[in-house]
Amino acid sequence: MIEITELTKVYPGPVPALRGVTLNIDKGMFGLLGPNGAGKSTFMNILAGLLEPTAGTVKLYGDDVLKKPKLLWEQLGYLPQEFGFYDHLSGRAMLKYLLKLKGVSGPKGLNQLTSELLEKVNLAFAAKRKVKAYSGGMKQRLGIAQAIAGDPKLIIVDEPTAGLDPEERLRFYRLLAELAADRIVILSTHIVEDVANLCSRFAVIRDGRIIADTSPSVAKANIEGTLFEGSVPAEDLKEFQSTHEIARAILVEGQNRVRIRVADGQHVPDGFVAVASTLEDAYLLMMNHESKPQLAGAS
Amino acid sequence: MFNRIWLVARYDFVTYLRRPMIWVWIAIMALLFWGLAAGGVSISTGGDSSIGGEKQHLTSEFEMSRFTAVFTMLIHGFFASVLFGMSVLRDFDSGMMPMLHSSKLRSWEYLFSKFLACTLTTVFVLAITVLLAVFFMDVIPPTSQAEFFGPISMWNFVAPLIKFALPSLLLMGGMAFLLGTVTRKPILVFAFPVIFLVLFGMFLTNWSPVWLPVWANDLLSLSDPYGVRWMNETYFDIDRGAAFYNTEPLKLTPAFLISRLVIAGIGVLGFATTIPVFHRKLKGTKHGAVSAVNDASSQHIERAQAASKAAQDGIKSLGMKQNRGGLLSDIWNIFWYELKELRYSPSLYLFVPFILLEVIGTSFFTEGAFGTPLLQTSGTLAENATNVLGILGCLLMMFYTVESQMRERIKGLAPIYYSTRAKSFAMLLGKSLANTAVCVAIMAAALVASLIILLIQGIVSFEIFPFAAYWLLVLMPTFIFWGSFITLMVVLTRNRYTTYALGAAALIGTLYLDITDGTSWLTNWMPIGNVTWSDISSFEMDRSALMLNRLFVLSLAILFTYLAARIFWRRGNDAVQLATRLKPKPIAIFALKASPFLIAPIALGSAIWASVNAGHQGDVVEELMKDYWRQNVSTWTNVKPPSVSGVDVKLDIQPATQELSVDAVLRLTNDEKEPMKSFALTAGAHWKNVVWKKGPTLKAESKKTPVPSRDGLEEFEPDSQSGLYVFKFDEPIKPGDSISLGYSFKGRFPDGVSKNGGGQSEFILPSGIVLHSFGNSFMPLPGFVENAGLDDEFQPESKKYEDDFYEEELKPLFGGGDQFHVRTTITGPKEFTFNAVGVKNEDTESGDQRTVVWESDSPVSFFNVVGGKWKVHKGETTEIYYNEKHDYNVDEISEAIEHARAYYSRWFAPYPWKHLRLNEFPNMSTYAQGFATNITFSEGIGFLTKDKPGADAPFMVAAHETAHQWWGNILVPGEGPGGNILSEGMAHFSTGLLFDEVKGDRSRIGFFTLIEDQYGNQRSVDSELPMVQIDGSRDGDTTVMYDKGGWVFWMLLNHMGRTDNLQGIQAFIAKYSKATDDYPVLQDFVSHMREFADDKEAYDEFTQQWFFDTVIPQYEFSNVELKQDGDQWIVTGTIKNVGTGKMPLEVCSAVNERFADEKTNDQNPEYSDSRTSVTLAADEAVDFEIISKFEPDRVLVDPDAKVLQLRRKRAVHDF
Repeated sequence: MIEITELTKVYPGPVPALRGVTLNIDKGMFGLLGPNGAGKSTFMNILAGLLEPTAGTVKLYGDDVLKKPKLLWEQLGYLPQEFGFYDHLSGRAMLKYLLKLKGVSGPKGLNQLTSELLEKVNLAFAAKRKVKAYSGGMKQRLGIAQAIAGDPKLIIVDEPTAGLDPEERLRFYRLLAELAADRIVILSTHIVEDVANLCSRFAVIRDGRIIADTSPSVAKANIEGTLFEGSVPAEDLKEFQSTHEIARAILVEGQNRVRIRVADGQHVPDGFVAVASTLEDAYLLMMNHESKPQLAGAS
Repeated sequence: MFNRIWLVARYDFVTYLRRPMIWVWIAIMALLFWGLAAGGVSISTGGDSSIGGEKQHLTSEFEMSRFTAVFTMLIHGFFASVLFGMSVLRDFDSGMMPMLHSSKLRSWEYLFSKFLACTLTTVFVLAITVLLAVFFMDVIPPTSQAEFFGPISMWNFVAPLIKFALPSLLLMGGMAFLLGTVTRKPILVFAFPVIFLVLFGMFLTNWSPVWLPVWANDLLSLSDPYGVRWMNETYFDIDRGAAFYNTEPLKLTPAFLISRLVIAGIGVLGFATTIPVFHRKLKGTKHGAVSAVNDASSQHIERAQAASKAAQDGIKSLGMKQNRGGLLSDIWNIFWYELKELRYSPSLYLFVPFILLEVIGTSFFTEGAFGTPLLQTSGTLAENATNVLGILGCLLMMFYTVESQMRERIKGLAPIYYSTRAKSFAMLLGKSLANTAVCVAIMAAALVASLIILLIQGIVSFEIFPFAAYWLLVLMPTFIFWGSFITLMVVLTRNRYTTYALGAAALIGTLYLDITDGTSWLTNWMPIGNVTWSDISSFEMDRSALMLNRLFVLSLAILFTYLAARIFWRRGNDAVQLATRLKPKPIAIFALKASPFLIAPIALGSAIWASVNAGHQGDVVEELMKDYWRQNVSTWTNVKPPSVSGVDVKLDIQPATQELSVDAVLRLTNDEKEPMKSFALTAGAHWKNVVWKKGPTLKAESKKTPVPSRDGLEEFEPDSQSGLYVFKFDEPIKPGDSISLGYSFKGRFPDGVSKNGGGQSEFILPSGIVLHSFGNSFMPLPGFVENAGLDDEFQPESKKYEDDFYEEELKPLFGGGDQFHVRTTITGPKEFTFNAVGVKNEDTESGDQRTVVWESDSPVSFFNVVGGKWKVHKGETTEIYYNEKHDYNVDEISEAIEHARAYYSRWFAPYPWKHLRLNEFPNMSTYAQGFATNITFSEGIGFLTKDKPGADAPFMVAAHETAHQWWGNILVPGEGPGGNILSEGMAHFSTGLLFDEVKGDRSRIGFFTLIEDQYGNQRSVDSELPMVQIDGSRDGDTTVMYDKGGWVFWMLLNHMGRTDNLQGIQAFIAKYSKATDDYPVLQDFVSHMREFADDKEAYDEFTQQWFFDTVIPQYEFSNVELKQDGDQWIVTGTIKNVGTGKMPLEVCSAVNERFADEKTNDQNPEYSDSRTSVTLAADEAVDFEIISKFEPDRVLVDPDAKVLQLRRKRAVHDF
């Protein structure tokens, strides 16, 4: 398990990126949700041992990996949000080199393992092609291949499905799900649906703070029966916002389709009907109304 | 369109102005102009500010042009190339390219904007440099330099930029732009200006061998992108006077103007070539990407199905394991990958040929004594290659190390690469080792190149040992150290540009310190040029220091690598945590952890420091010499010592241990007019256990006995004042009387290691011995040595002499004065041969020791002792002692000294000694010395001179050195201006005469035109003094002493007539070789020879211009026409002396080559010439007419090489 305690990161400026993040992450798939600039990548970089925090501790199965990042790197599979490869190498050569650096071996030898891994990420057909000729999705798959290689106890994937087509995305999720059965997998994403489908637990980060640490089912259950949807004319929306807790508003054929949360005892506006809650609703409500204490800390 | 172009260009221009590089560029220029204005920086073509008269203004267009060309070569070129080359590359690196090209901006507009912005930035910097120049030279000019500043004209500052800087910067910028954009390799962009500088700056601007045809020289002048060569050839090779340079504009010749346009045009062409290539690249990238996607789509279904099954099998089915791995396997993996990566580096394919070109070039064009070509051996090739590979290899390693250590960051692989379990140390070391392997590959290539050179040369066989010794001992530790240093810098700075700047500064700083003698074995991590090769002696000199130095740099490399691994940026630092770590306690803990790696550097460094300090150039000796100077300068400076009038010296020399025991007795004579109550002798710092003995006073007549007696010597305790031994007597030595003085000591010589390697003129080594009486290696120097103990910067200026100084009695230039007899007894290992002056009276062996006794058969002025394991070549009257490896030129050297002895005896004076020997010694210092009967040559002189057919180089060197038996020994010149010309100039003159006598016209003309060319190339154009004022202290004095001196004596012989001239010389030698109280200089010679001149007026006119003035004719033809009149051919034209001086001159029309071939002096039977004579003063032109019975193919001046002149090869008109 990973125990993260009071993790703080302040960039020169000073610009606080993480403000005392505390989390305990156990085996299984853990999702990290948050808007751009919330501190997700900073958090993931620290967890991957690539960035030194200003304060706090991170323990992996009891080892303080901030003090001894080598212990972390020996059991880590990492797919960063942004990365590149040596352009002039073939995908196969690139992967093989990284497998060597990671100390990964297979029962049939490294060449065979490289081929099999490329097959797993559906890149066998382009194994001999130079990386510079790869599309964005192909590069992402190559990145995935190296991240899942070996037997890492911890896998960190930051926005892993960016650039993948739906089919590849599903394939990757299948792989991740399999891996998450007996290890920790931390998935950072802005796609709430991915978290809903894959993660048994997730946290929401905003302005460097964890504002929720819960499970998708609890998050949804917390707002079940409180969501209503109706139309609001564009010119009335501003005033409507000031009097209602809005989850989302989408402009459809000149009308704002607005989904609101109505607390117990509150009046449901005319024309609004009850709708089933989704994790995305829960997430958006968290983003819009951070101060809701009942969400934070639930598990 | 224009708006778009201007928008991008303006944005880039403003961005560039914010870059530190631009301001570093400007700061460097500010420093340089400040240095120029203050006098601390100079760009010399020989100008000497100490010479009186009007000074050349720094603010003149000529001087500014010179500065501009040199600064363009050294500074502007580098910065501009990086600016242009990185311009597009940066956009690629930053990922801006797709966005830029999804806008309306077209490819050519984008590139043009970039190029325009770079050009504007360059012009901006140049404009700032103009303002800086004006500021330092006009607004705040130092008053001490006022005479060097003329009136300010902005045109003088701007014109050179337009004429010289802009064309070459456009060329370099255009090519760098092309290189950077097309290859996208920063390493190439940075390497380009360095290669350009070495190729053009170091080579093209001044490479001018004698054999270079005029057309090739002209082509090189026009090809030099900086214009330095053209400026020198056109304006600076002939001194036009300060007034001309200060007031006239620098006019460009049409050919040069066209060449500037072509050079700028090539730059623009480089830019233009970028456009289609860049366009294709962009299209190609899109095409590749699209095709990849299409490819993927077309096979999508099949692949997806197959892969889906594979994926369903589960990741666990792969059975992967992750092990911790070992350090060695990590290092190997990274090393091997990086090594393979090098194959994809185009820079390697550019660098390697370039470095090999340099290696081969420097080996082929290395010159020995008097500009003669050198025969290359494996050792000299290894030494030359080491010097080239050392500097260029370090540059190459810097580029590769920085780029490879930064590669993961630049490519975006860093988060994946750094989060693997591979160890940081392995990441750093694996890359460093791979980059070092680049240098190993280059060394291997240089080895092959050297082998090819030896095969082409076809004389010397190949040996692997010198290469292995130099490259493993000198180069490899240097490369390993340098790689670790650059790695540490990359880790510390995390910035490739800062690292390049620091690396370049370290490299330049080291070279500067090395040149200025500021390094020692402790600080010189790149001992290039400090480890002298000898085929006879393998690193015997300073071997222990060299080994310690190599181990020291390797231990530092380990320390640097450790530090780099500890502070490696693998994990981004937190500023707060970093501040905490920089507190004393964490630093102390860090230092404690690093301490195991500090032990070896500290121990080795201390050992080097101690041995250098205790060595013969160390602080201990330096302090002793300072004390010597302080304690004695006031008392003993002007006290004349007694002269040596006899020597009996016994030397026990053990080369294996470098030990020396001396037991000697000197006879010292009071040559002064007053009684001598005391005198002083200076002993060597290596003298240990010194015992002095004093003998009885000897009457004047006893001076005539051959060597002093050892009878009656009694121990004596002189006052010792830091190496100066002062002998005081109750009863003064009367004028003419002598005393015997015995002394003995033991010591090692040289005693300990030197400060920083390099040459030693005297030594005892296991492979050879060279000792002589000019120093105090085995015999004390009479009196106080005035300059001993003074730092270089506090050395007194050379003595100022009055015009009539020569009328007083002058001291001898060499030795102590009187000629004397000497007996030298040498004991040493029996496998050695020991030679000294005179004749050998005894040679006995006892056990493993040999004892030889040499005694002078006629008095000598100074003497030497040499030893070695030689072969002997015996001529009729001469012997050559040489190393068995160096028998290439022995026959020709023997021929030269045999003839020299015979003819010089006939021409100048009878040879007074029985023997004449020539001995080869290890190349610890490259020189030759002509001691009476016992000449010494280092192996690099004569024995390894390349004897090309017709060049007669070994003959020339041997003839010159043999001439010193007369000019230096039989006649000792006086101390003062014009003294040494009687030695060196006369030796060259003698060589020319011997060529004429023994070899014939071709060899004599070849010799005189060779030294004429050297004079033209090496003289100080604007500060050359008349020959009577040459004392060897200024730049350019050497070529005047040797080359001009030899020529002028040759011209004097032709002027006076051979018989009169040689009679005069014989009388001159007879007069001064017998004198005991006055030694001659050139003025004495001129005055003496006048008596032998038939036409005194003509003699005075000749000597006035050549000895007392500085003149040099240069002839040019114009309006030359050839007409046929019946069976006659008439050549008409005008010949003008565009130089100075007034000389009679032969003008000659000729057909066919004069000599049959290069190997003989036989005249070609097809050759004919017809001549006429003219006399031309400076700037004088006359019409001439030459009638011949043959159709000439050319007209030329001075066919027999009788008038010294500039640019002889140009004074030819071909029909």
